[in-house]
Amino acid sequence: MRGALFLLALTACGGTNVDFTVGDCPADAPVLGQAGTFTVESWDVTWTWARKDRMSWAPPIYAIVPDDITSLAVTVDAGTNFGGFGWLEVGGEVFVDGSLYEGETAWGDAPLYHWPEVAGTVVLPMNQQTWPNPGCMVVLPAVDGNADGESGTVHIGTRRFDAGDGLLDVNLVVVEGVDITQDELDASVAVMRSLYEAGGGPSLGAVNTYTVNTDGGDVIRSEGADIASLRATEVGDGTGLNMFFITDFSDDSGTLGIAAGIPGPIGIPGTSGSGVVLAVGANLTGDGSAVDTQLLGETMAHEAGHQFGLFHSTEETGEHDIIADTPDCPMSADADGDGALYAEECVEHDGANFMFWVAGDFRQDEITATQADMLYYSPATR
Amino acid sequence: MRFALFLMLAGCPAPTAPEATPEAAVPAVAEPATLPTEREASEPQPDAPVLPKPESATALESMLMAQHSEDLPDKAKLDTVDGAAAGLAWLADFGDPLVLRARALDLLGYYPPGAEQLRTTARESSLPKLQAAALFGLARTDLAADPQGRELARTLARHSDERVAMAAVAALKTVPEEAAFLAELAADEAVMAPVREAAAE
Repeated sequence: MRGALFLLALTACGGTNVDFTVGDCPADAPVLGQAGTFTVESWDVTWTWARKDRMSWAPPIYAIVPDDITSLAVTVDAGTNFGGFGWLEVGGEVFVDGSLYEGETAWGDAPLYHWPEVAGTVVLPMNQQTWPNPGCMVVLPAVDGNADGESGTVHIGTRRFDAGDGLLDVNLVVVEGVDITQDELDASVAVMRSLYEAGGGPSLGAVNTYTVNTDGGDVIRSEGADIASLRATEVGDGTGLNMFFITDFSDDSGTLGIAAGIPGPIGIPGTSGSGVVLAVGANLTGDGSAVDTQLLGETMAHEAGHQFGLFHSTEETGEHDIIADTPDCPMSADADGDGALYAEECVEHDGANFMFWVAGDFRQDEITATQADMLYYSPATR
Repeated sequence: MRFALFLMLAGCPAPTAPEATPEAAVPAVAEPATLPTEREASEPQPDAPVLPKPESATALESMLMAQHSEDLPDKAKLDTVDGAAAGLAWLADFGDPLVLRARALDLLGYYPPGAEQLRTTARESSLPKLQAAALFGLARTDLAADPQGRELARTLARHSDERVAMAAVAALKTVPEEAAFLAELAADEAVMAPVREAAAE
């Protein structure tokens, strides 16, 4: 297919063809990033509705991924619309092909399990199969639904340095009105830090606290304009992982915290998905008298894991991530035969992994070497 | 499909239709002039004496500590645990952390005998989070056949804590006969904007 004119037809919807060239970048395609640093480059796009696809498209973006690439993140920010990729190819390898119903590279399938999301993002690498190759990068941005005439932005964050110190800078962004002290924040950060360090992942670097006043206030819905606006709040110099602290979600009393996706925009500030949101009111002790800093710290680590691109190591019904060295808890471990795998049943496997789907009555502070690598090589880590 | 994992939140499942027993008039809901924060309002969990923990509570505890609320059990899953209603009722009172109590209250709504505990918590808890969770639980009950619950939800729809008011609106939306009240709420400028918007949706 290299060099050919490729007609992407979303056959599920009847097939409106989007023309673009696969594989060969035009001569004027920019080289991404700058040697020795992390850089974010952005393209403004305008969406065109394709009725038959039930999608909106923007023209493809071509860029050159240089030889010294370590990792990259691509985000399609379409406000509160769900953005994603009709096609994503890097260095001759296709990672997403939205024209497929199923199978490898189709939406929701290996190797990235990409699906349109608010500020839909892919990160390379996300697992051991998705290291970025140098060469031509082709991005076909898409929006799920009719965004005709609306504008959006495609961001590409490029990390062009080796592992460095392996530090992750964190911005703790507390919405005004949230009842949490700096000591409680520090204690929660210490839990997350020790978990990442003990697992061989990056340690936390600069941790800065900011207080912000947003239109949505400290109680917001888990979807829609208010959370998008909160996540787009920029603090400091724009680097690092944003963790937003609200009092609670108004539409669900059971949510501890949420990532913007798997992955969410990492290292890319200012989008409607640029950060993890934590509900302090859900991370309290049973009588509501204090922040449960152990719980909050573990929630931060888990949701940050999703934002980086890590899936649950084992799901309730026995699905597993595709990271090879996360132990797979088999259904044969379902001791009570209820069809669900709980942490206690999987203690010999990945029950103590920080990305296990459910908390256990013990600490979940295990990180496998590959999970640690994904955190370590993330575009957001320095 | 793995893409389901991307859906970070699910809405409340459709309410079931349990048998509810209409009860007497609803006592007034007390609300302080100045609301305390969640933690200022912290309430000792009923612990004197602590009721024995039912076996079902232990089994349910694992289910209820899912990292994400969309992974919480549905009614069919809960029913695999003998005495699920009693277990949820115990966790709603004595669970730790607070989110465990909130989730237990929400899911208690699947069981008709739980309605009274939900009404009591929604009316009397000093923790808005638990009040809201109890209202989400009531939204799972046959609220149309529960005049006491409906009256309580109407009152709490004007609560000054957004979580409580929004949960009350969610509960009232399960009752078609409450459409007029919701329209009135949506037009009332004394009600906080997000609640008016939710009522109008």
